[in-house]
Amino acid sequence: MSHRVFEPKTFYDLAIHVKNQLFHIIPQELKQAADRTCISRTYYAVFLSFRDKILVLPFQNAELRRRIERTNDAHAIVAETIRIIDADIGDFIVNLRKLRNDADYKTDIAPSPDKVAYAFKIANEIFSKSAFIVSKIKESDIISAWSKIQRRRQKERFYLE
Amino acid sequence: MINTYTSECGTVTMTDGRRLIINIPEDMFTSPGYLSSISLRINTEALGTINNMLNRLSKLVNKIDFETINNLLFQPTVFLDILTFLEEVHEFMGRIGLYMYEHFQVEISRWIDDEVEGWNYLQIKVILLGGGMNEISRRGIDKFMLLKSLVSIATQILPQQLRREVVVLVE
Repeated sequence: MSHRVFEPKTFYDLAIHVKNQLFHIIPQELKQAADRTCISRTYYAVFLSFRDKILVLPFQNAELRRRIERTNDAHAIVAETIRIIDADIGDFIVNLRKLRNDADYKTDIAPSPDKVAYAFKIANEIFSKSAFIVSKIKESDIISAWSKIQRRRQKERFYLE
Repeated sequence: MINTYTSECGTVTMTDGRRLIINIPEDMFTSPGYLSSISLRINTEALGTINNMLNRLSKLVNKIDFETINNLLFQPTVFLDILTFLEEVHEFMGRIGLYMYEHFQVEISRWIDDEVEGWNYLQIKVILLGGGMNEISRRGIDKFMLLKSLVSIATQILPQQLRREVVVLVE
């Protein structure tokens, strides 16, 4: 991976700043958008932090590296790799992704007021364990995660055909 | 151990994974006068066990995706492990004063994220209702603490391989 110029965790720091320091000055009609943005940025802070840390690990599979760096597959690969190392943290990431999907796409329901705080707590827990998790990841875990994802895809295609 | 019974009509195999496979040769249907019908006899005790599992499930879950349940019926050991986990969830929720219908709902389904191909998990979702939120706040618990507890129960109860396939969500 080329030289990093951005620390993804600052998305989370920004979300906290918006919610705790700026929220009261945001016009009423923009508050829901601010909440949704805070949840979405929190997910990306966690996802990108793990993705970038995985990309600096010494692993040989260039095609897999390209997928993680350049494609949407990275979301599944990161989540699945974390699940292999620690299922609890894996579930936290999955919950965060669900919150992000709802925040970004579900425009028919307003997010309840506690959703942002919930997303922050999940992210905080993940960040507190992220160094330990990353220290445990081996290339074989990433390959195993990718294989599992591919098997699921084959199964999905089989059912669709 | 793999047990196989072979006859001229085909083979029946009970695999290591306790899966029953019945193999019927292709020509059995096309050879004239060879096979008039297939009848499958299932021991009533086996049906009773399946019935019992579905009854248990109906008391533990109130939002069911039938395709997911249909798939679980093909993996009875997995189904039983999921039931044990769900019973533990209810026991835990009861200990903190939360009851299904009154305070929360439980959903079992597949989460396929259309944005990410291969994002396909068996999900067990606990949905807190308004009464449930009030009840946990009264006890000084928040949604994240609840999620943490349920996730930890899943890790303790479910076999490692299955644990990776099941996601626990709290909404």
